[in-house]
Amino acid sequence: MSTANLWCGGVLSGVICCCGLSTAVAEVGAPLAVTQQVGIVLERMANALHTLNYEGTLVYLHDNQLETLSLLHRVFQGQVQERLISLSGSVRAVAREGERVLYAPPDGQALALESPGSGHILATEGIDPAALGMHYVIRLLGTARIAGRDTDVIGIIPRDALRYGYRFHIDRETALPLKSDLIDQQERPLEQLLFTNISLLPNDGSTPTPAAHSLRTAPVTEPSSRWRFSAVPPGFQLVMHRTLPQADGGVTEQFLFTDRLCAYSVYVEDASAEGLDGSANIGAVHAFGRVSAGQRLTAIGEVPAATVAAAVAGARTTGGTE
Amino acid sequence: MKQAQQSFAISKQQLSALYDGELAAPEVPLLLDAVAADATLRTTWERYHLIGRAIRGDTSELVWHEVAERVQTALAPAPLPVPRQQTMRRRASAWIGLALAAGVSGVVVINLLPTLESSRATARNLPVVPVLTERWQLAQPTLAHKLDRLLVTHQETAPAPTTKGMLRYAAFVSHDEHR
Repeated sequence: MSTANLWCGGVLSGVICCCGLSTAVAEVGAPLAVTQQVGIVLERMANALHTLNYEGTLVYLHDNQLETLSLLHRVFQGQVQERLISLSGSVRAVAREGERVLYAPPDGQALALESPGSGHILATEGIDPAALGMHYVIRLLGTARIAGRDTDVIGIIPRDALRYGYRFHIDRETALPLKSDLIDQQERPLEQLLFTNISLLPNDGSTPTPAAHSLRTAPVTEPSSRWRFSAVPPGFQLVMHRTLPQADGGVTEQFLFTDRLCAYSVYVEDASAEGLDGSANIGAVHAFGRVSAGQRLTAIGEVPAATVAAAVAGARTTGGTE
Repeated sequence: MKQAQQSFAISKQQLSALYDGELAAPEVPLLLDAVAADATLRTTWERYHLIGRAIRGDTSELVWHEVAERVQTALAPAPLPVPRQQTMRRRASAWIGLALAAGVSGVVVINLLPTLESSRATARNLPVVPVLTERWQLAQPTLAHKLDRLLVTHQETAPAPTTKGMLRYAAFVSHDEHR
C-alpha cells in the first residue's frame, strides 16, 4: 500500500514559525473579492477533509497543556470511518463508522449514538463566508510556511465576545488544514491544533455519502414546544427542535441555535434529573444550567460562557412563566 | 494465572487491531477498560505506536513522542503561556535557532519557560481559558458524563461546526481529569 507521507517537521518549531509569520501577513483585497477568495479556499479545505484518506499525528495545545493525538480518516465503500485517539495520558478515543459514533473515555463509561446527520471528526461542509459578515470579519491573511510547507492563511475573526472564530493554515498542495486555531475577538488563540505528520492513503474510489442537510443553510424554525427563547445572543437563530426519548421513559427536548458558524444547544428535561447548576467548561466548550418553571435547562456548546448563560436566561414558557 | 495470560494476549491482539483501525466498535470500550487498568497494556499500546512510526521511518516522531510526555510532566504544575504574537515574532528566529541546535524541540519549551513567565507583555496575553483541574470542574463523575453525552449529541446534530477542523472532538480525548 503506497502512502504519500507529508512531514511537517519539528512540532514546536512549527508552532513558533506560524505564530511568528501569521502576524506578518495582512488583510488583502476588496471585501467582496476577499470573501470570494476565502470561500474558494475553504471549499477546497472542506472537500479535502471529507474525501481524502489520511492519517496523522497532531499536537493539541489547550489550557496550558500540550498533548498528542492520532487521527485516521478514510472512506471505505462510501462509508466514512474515523478515529481520534489521545496518545498522551490515559487513553481516550472517538471513533465513527457511518453514522455511528463511539466515545470511549478511560473510565469505561463508553457512549455510543447514532448520528441523524453525517457529521465527521473533521470538516464535512464548507463555511459560507458570505453568510458570516454580520458577526465575523473574514480575512485572507496571506501565506505562511508551516515547517517547510506553503499554506494559505484564512482568518474568521468574531466581531464580539459572544462567539469564537478560527484561523486556518491550509496546505496549498492537499488543501488540508495543517494548523487550526480557535481564536477570540482579539485573535488570541484559545486552542491550537497542528499536524506533525500526515500520510495520504489510497482510496477505493468511492465517495462519501453527502450529508442530508446542512446547518449552514438550515432554515430558521419555530419550536413546537411550550418553551420560547427571547433575548437570544445576537446572531444566533433556532434551526432545530426535537425530542429525545430517555431510557427512564422521560423525554428531553433539544433546541439547536447557530450563527452559521458557532452553535449551542439548549436541553430541557425534568427538574428531578441530575444536572448542572451554574457554569462549567472543558476548554472552550461551555455549559450553563439551572432549573426554571419546573424543568431543568442546560445550554452547551463551543461558545463563550456568556453565550450559554444568556441562552438559558432568555428561556420562557409560553404561559410566561420563567 | 494461565487465564490472566490468555486475557493479556487477547488484549494485545485487540490493541494491535485498534491501532490498525480494524477493531470492531463494540469491542473498543472493553479494551480501553483493560488498558486503563493495566500499565503493561498501556506500555504495549505506546510501543505499537512507536514501532509503527519506526517502520515508516518516522524517527523524529519517536523523539517527539518521548519528549511530549516529559514536557507535559514538566509543565503540569506551571501554566504554559501562549505568548502574544508580536512577542513570538520578535523572538522567533532565536527560538528556531535554539530548537535546531537542541535537536529536540521540547527542550526548547522547557528552557524558555522562565523567559516567558517573566515577560510582562506576555503575561497580559495569557489564554483566556482557565487552567482546569477536573473534567468540567465537577466533582460528580456522573454529572460530567452526562454533560459529555449532551455535548456529543449537540456536536452530532450540528454538523456545520465540523468546519472548525480538528478542534471538534479534540476536547473529548484530551482533557484528562486525572492530570
